[in-house]
Amino acid sequence: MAHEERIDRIVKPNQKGEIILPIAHYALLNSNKKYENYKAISIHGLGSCIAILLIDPIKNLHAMSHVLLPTYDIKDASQIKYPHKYVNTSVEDLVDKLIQRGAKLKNLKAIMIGGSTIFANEFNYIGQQNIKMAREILNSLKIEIFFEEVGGRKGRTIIYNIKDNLIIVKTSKGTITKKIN
Amino acid sequence: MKLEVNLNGANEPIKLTPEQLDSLRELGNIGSGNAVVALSELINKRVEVSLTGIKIIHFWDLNKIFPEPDAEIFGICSNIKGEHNLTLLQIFTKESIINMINIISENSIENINNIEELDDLTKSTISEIGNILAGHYTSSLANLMSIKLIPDVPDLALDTIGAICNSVAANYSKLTDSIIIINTKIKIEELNIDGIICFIPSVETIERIFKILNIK
Repeated sequence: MAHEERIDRIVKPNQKGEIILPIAHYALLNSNKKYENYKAISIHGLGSCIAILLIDPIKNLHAMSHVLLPTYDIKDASQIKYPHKYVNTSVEDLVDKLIQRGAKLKNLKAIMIGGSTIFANEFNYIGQQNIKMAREILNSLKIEIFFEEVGGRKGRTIIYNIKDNLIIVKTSKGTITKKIN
Repeated sequence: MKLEVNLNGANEPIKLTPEQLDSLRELGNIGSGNAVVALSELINKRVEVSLTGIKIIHFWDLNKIFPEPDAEIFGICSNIKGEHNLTLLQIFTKESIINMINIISENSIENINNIEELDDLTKSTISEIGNILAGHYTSSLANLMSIKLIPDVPDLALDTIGAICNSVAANYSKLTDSIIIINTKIKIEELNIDGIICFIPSVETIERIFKILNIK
């Protein structure tokens, strides 16, 4: 399905100019175009989910997804309606979309946030599995993980400030700010 | 601190008739009615539990009913296994849980930073409250479906609403798209506590509930 028609793509920011990324959705930005109304892409409350941000700093292309699980367990991958529900299909799709828009795989950099264990007696550690799968996929594509804030036992909020090219990660221990190139 | 809840924040994927809504309300009322008796016995004080709203929403819209996604809350998650699979998630503000603990165990806790710092007695008090509420709500559902549903010991989390909903989604994502939300008010003497009870059933379980309630 064409990128413009995808139901899991978030395009419109809310009244505050913020694009809130729900689970299994993605956003794609070409920072060369004017995004006057867009202030940020955010996820308020990353628990075991992981936010993956892929950037081509040379072409100024950014893609971000909010991913739930490490991989799928259905037999036929072509039946997956929401590729951004799973780390492996999400990364593949983000890379695909970025390359379609002129990004070069060798220039891509990645940022990973999230993958915590929120419940006290959690037994399947999905957060940890998400982090592990993300690393494996990114390594196999030779995409450098430029910044990460992952793991632990507390949730995080991520705000990607588009205008200033800043990643803001709020944790229970405070706020971390990272400039992207 | 009040638990900010706006049931209208989420879409209604299924339009319920007034009769169907009444049946659902009945489910919630029976659950709360039974919970009152049990909680009163536990804490030896006057308890009132009432249902202030009930809705069926999509799983991924759960955080849309909370206008403050960064508000810190307690999540109490009970798994129910057996013939039918179900997860019950209860959400209370941190302040409510602290107030409940202080009344129940005559403690004077002022703040909780993380669950690890709680002593065993406090942790088990919270678990017990969660277990009582979970038990009574699921028993009312069990009566509706004519089956037995017994919740496991609950798992606790103290974090933002977003993070807790996020993690429940990850751990129980193979379950249904539709969940039943009950907006609950608990009154212990002069103390008012707002809570949310979410039924997160498996696909088979929600289909069975819909069949019994005549919901398509």
